[in-house]
Amino acid sequence: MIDPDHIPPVDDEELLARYIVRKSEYRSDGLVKPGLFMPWSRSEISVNRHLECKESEIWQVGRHVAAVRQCELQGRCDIAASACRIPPLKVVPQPLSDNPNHAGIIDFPTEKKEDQKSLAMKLAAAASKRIVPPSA
Amino acid sequence: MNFTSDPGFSEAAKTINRVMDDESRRRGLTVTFSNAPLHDQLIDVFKYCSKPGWDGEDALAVQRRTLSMALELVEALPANYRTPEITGEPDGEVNLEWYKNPRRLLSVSISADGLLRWAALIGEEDPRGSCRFHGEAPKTLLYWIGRVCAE
Repeated sequence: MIDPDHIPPVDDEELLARYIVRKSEYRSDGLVKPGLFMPWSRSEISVNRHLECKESEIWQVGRHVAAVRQCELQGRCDIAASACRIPPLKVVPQPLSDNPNHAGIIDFPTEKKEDQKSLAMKLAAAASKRIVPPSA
Repeated sequence: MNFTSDPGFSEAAKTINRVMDDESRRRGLTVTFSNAPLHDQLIDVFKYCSKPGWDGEDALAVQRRTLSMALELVEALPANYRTPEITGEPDGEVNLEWYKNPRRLLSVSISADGLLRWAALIGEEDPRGSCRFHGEAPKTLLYWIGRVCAE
């Protein structure tokens, strides 16, 4: 994990994980749906930076996310930070006390749902297919 | 599958069953686009999204009225139009999606009072907008459904 005392800005080349906690968030061929990237009433969504994160740590965060939402972890998709920087979106570090790799895709418009949908479609189109979690 | 066997689900089951009968009659001769998925999907949305917090966070319940509105919209489409995928949304609306690939899709959210908020992605084109549903499928949507579903 990233050193909590030295959190760098999110580089364009970095990979970010978005966790999938519902079966309705991906298609039968593994492609993820735009809804996975919708912020709804918020103006941002959470992602986890791969930077200095072991594969096992990436999944550990995912299991925690699913547990908080009382859902079963269905997997994750990865997306490059550069692909998330569709104006007006920005990607910024948002370290948490228990997860220095937490980041946010911020500045989703909140006035028009259709604008959110449009951005979510572009993010989903740029994301990887669902990556299945390792069995516990 | 008998949805009337669950007492807590009886009213919705009656509605859905009635709708299924009507829809069967209406589209009975259409072989290409089976009507079964539409009703299965409506029932699924009702089953999984009709209680607050159904997403594990702060989702609003999808109301029966919103599902009815979604059904009315789909029924208002010409019979040869493809049935969309229907899902509940955490803001209580229902999403109708016509999808061909990640860069060729149309997503329409419908509210309980018939407000439609839609966005499409077709290659580099990203049209979007909003309009009202008053019992007739808006021409704009018909146009974009046609664009997404065209061979």
